[in-house]
Amino acid sequence: MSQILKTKTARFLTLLLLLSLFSCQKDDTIVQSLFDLSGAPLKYDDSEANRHLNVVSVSMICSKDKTENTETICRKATEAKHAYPNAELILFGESVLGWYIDDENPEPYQRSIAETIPGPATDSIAQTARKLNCRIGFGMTEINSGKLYNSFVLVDPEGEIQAVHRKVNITPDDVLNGITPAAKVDSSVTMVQINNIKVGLIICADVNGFWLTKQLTNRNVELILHPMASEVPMFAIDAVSRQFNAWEVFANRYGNELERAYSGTAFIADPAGTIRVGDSGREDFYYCKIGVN
Amino acid sequence: MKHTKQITFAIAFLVFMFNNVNQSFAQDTTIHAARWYIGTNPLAIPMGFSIKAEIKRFAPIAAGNEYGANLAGGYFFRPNQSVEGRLSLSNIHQVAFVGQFHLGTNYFLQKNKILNGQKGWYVGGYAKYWDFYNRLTQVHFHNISPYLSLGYTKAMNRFLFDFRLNQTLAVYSWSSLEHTRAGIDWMLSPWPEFIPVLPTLTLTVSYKF
Repeated sequence: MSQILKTKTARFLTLLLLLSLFSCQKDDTIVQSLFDLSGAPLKYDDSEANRHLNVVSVSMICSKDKTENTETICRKATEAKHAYPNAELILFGESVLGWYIDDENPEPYQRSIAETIPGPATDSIAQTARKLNCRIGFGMTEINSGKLYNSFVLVDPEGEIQAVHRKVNITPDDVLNGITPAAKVDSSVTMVQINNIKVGLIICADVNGFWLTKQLTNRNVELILHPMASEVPMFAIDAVSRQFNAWEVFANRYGNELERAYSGTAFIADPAGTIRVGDSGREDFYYCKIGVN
Repeated sequence: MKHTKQITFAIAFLVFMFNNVNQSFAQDTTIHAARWYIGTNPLAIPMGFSIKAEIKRFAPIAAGNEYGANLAGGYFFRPNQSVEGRLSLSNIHQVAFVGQFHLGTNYFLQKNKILNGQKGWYVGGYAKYWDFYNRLTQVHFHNISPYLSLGYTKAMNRFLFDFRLNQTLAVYSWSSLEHTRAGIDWMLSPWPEFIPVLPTLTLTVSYKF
């Protein structure tokens, strides 16, 4: 190879190296692609784990009527607990007190189903949690000082509200719904300890927020509770648990709400991204005893 | 034996891929000008940077799932057959850095055409290794995957314009994450429930020397 060509090649390689060093994403939104889902499922061994949590992920059909949904949550939690008496935490999807969005009348509809926390819906669900001696997590539209928040409430087995997380990374649909995002400050990072496991609470597109991801991974989160309103089909591997290096419980809704068709995809995945249990295309619930090494 | 299937599979693929290469080096004594080429996939470069979310989510399919800085290089060891390597290094988003290396061979169906400055169709067989590295958790997810290509190259002076379709067949994965064992699976698409078979496209512009 001539000296000129060698020089040109060296320059080309240097340019590529510089490009790789400067490749970057400037904003806070993590845009995952199909590449994040590429790979074979791995085998994660939690047989020697010393901390455990029995969790159930629910996929449910949501009515437009809030009272009906509150009753459905209580009924499904009872059914899940009867099916899996060991269950310690039952997770429902995002904004399950009503439709995720009423495309014909988004904000007025959200205002009509919004409640304070605590409020009638949380009181009713807390009563069920106490009766079942089990935690219940669910998403709802919260109203506080006239502002709407897309919130996730976790009620403990004593019927007390253990945590409330407000969605940080809102979507264009949330904007139409009149939702205010939670500020990117420490108090918006919601973590609790359950059975000595560090549990992080996120809602739907929060998963695309780099700031929140960093906050939770810096705190060594071990389990992500992730209520969704998602139309996506089932994954072969779970990119979210790989993103956080944590177990993920993914709960969702199923069925049509005007033109939107929610897939019912719900699952529980281990930190290697392997989906332990779950399915799509129906209303159901899925149980797993997770082990944290 | 642990992983016997996987090892057999990998060896069979590599033997198949390089059998022709060895034979050709032994038999083909013809001297051809401009046997080497070096190039890049220009569509992959923007994938390493901030672009519109809707584009970034699916455009990598049109960039062969290569991201950011990338280099392709090859050698025609026969007039109608080349061996090629591809390297790509980039953050694919704020959380993950992916380094990938591909190695394989392209067999042109019309003999002698490419080196003589024309154009032609080819089929290729490759193995791809990539390391999906989570920069926040410091966990590596390693993968090796065989794939087949169908391509078309047009030579113009010393430049090669190459357009190909790639179809992944299977994947063998392992991780630096503790308590994790390797896995192997067929993979015609990374999201089979969404789309059962998903080939990718690659455009490469190369310079012959």
